[in-house]
Amino acid sequence: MTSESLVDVRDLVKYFAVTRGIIVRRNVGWIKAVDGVSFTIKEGETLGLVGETGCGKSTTARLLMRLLDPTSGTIRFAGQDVGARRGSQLRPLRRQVQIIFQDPFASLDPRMTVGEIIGEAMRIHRLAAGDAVHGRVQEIMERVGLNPDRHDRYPHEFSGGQRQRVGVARALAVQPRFIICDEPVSALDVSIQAQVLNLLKDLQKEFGLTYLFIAHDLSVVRQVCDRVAVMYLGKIVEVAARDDLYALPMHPYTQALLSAVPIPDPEKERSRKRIVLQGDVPSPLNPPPACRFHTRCWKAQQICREVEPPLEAHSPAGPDHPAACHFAEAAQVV
Amino acid sequence: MATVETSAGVAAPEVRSLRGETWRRLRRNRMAIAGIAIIALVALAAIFADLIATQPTEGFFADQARESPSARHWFGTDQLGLDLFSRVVHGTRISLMVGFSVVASILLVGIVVGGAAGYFGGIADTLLSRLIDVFLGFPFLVGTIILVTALGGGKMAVIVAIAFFSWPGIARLFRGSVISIRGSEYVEAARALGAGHLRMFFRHVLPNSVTPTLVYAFALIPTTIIAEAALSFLGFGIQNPAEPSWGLMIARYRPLIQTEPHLVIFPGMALTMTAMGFILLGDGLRDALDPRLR
Repeated sequence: MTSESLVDVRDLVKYFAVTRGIIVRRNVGWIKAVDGVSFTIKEGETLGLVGETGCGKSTTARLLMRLLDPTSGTIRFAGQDVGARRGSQLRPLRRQVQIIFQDPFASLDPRMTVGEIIGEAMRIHRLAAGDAVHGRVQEIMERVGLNPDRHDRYPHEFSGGQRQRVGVARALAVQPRFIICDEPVSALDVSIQAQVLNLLKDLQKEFGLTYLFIAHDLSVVRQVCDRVAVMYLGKIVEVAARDDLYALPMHPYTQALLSAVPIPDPEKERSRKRIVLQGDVPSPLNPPPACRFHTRCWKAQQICREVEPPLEAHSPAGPDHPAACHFAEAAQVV
Repeated sequence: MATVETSAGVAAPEVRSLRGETWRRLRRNRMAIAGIAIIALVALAAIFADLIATQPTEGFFADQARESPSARHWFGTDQLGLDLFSRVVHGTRISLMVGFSVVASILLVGIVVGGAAGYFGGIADTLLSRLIDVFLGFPFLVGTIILVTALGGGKMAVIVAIAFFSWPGIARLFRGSVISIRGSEYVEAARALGAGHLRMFFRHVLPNSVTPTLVYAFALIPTTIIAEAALSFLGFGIQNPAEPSWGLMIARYRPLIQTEPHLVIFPGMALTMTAMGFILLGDGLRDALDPRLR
């Protein structure tokens, strides 16, 4: 493990058992939500995690948060193995790792005022007591762009963007080092998205935060991420520095995703070729063998159905830009 | 409509708590108001029974037996010469006490059992849910008769017996609500913040899931009052003739129904009215809290 990586995930696996029967539970299969994922995030860096709905992004987030127990693999945070911790052993981790949820309407308790919501974490970790909580809450509200006078209002009295700011404030309340942003802007209007993204960037600069930024919108990822990992059906298929990924996508799946990003130039937009994938994402219950993308890939050969391609470097991309494909080659699509 | 400007110059949105909203909607429901009025009347009768109904409710007064309603005895007197009005008024205490005791205890048991099953899930849920099924499988009246007899009858026995066979409905309903709230993102967020099970359950899950259960429990008050009267009427519940249970009164005065029908009619009306008051308010509460009507 290199000294500067804050988060180091190795061969992370999460299978969900599919059971049948009420009294005698029979296991009828496994949903392979996350199947051997490895990545590192350096201190102060933002790693983007992109992929279609159901590819395991949110499961990965919940595993890192340790809201779920991994089936196997290791999660190291600041050099410590946290993947095997249980119950109260996770307390110290909860102070350092926080999460911002996708849906600002579902992630705030409707029966608590926003002041109580933001202050709850300080009470849990005894970071402040009594009146000090109140002052800290107002400070944080101010910092995320909320009117501190509205601390005694309920979440339903705020707009979607403001609610998401409450979610950000709640995460900040414990002064974490690492924040997982689980599609923090995909439920917001486009006009509000930029405000929240800028807020996240400002906070990163101010507090030296490290982000794992999950999204399915590649243009959002491009705005905020330093590096990007592309996920497909529980596996990472390509990792690269942001600009490398957009300039030189190596994996056919990445190329297909990027070809769907609109280009704000009508002429270029009209002239470029869109790669339209056939069919749907296969079920993570019994995913395709070997390369999981072979059922939808236009390059697929016999080897793709028999041998799983490792995540490794291919030329012309450098060693920091691995892709998991037998036929990886650069293509310009954006 | 013009927006209301506060001194700070910010448009003040209409602030309405759930409680305020519920009360506003309840007030518009005439039947619910009628229910509240009846319950208030019954409650006042129970609280001030010793002031309102001053005539003895036990003893033997041969000189005034089986009188018809009059200015002195508003509801008439029974075969022992006891004032029926006094007995009916004092009966409110038994009915309300049984109703509230049963509902309070089944709420406690139902929330503990249903909450544990729903919150922890897994094996705990499987075991507790099967236990609930077993209890729901008992025929209510047969079960309570057997239990109240085994416990030797009387007010406490009635309360225990009815509660024993009523909690599973509450537990099952609350379990369902807990399951739906337990999976919500704000509970997950609390967990991510490091909240323990107690905090998550009492601060987040319980307040957001208990409302339908409270409404259902409220609707069980009239059922319980009627169940007590039925048990006492059938000769299994309250059997001490000195205790003015409405069900017991109806049973004891039943042989006189052809000559002194008022002896059965007045306790019967008290029972029906009380039950109806709770049913009307219960329906009103359910409607006022129904999110689909909001």
